[in-house]
Amino acid sequence: MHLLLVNGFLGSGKTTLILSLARAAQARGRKAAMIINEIGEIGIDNQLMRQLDLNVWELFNGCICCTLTADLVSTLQTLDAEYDVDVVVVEPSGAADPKNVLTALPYYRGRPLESVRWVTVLDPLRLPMLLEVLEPLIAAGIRQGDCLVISKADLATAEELAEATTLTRAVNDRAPLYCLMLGGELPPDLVAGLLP
Amino acid sequence: MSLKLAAGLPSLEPYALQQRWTLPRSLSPGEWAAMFSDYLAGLARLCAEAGGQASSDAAGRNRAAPHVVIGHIKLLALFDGGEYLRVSMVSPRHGATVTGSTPSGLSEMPVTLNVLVYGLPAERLAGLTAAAAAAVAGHWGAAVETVPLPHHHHHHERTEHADQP
Repeated sequence: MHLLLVNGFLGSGKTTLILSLARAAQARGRKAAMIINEIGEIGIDNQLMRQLDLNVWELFNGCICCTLTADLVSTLQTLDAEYDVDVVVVEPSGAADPKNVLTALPYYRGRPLESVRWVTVLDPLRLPMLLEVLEPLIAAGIRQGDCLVISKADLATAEELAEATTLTRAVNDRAPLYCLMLGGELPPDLVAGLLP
Repeated sequence: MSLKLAAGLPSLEPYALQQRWTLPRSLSPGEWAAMFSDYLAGLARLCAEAGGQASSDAAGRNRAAPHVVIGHIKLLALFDGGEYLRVSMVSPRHGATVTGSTPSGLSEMPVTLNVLVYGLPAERLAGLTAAAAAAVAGHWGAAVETVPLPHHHHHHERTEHADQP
């Protein structure tokens, strides 16, 4: 079982990427499960994924990086023990600190995870502003990413995309970086990297 | 629920509600999308103004750290047959993003709204949401009814389709 964590600030495009990955997994004959942690009394993203017939597990009433780490671990163990999934995609809430999510994984007692990868989704329309006002959270996400995705490329100007790329590379210059259009097709090498 | 992420960051009090929008005539899918886009844009503008930042900031960013940061304002409507309408707003500087579409011929629609804005208490967000809804409803001749939220009994809940693993 592979684990893919999709990180990114609120509204960065995580759900859109996950929906594309779910379609790609299906096309590759991979069984995927989604663990969704949304902030708020009502989950919108999990309702949407359920509407689209995806295999969704929801973590409610708290943040996956703070109060729900035990729920994350127990859900992973259930998926390992009872369901033959190839990949588990975890969407922490957009307010989660990736470091805190990682601290939960050593408590997982299922079969060893074949891989743990982070993809960090960044909104080029707001990245400069977010790096100013929420720098610790946003920079931690960029640093953590094994793969970086700048979303909404079709909504941003060339200058916004260039600035987002520069700011991202200043924090993390090792991870592959992709610019994706909203709802566009995923590049094959990105899919291969995220869905082994 | 209030989330304080780290020292120096504004707190986040999520606000959610369900509404039923009723129109005197059926709207086209494009009209529904336009109406809800106006709704979320108006709400984002009100939130920004409540935080004291100009929504038409020409530089496009907030050089002085704002008291209010819009995280995500999103609206979802679900329909039979797997159809959906999702409207998303992250900044008053940018228009709403719309995915999915409504079926044709609808004159009423239940929607779920999540308002995730740093720096404004939920009570204040409730007032701003009501004001934004009233403004758009007035423009379109719509009636808006707030529906009580369902209560979640479980912290951890599986929701899967029958033919999934």
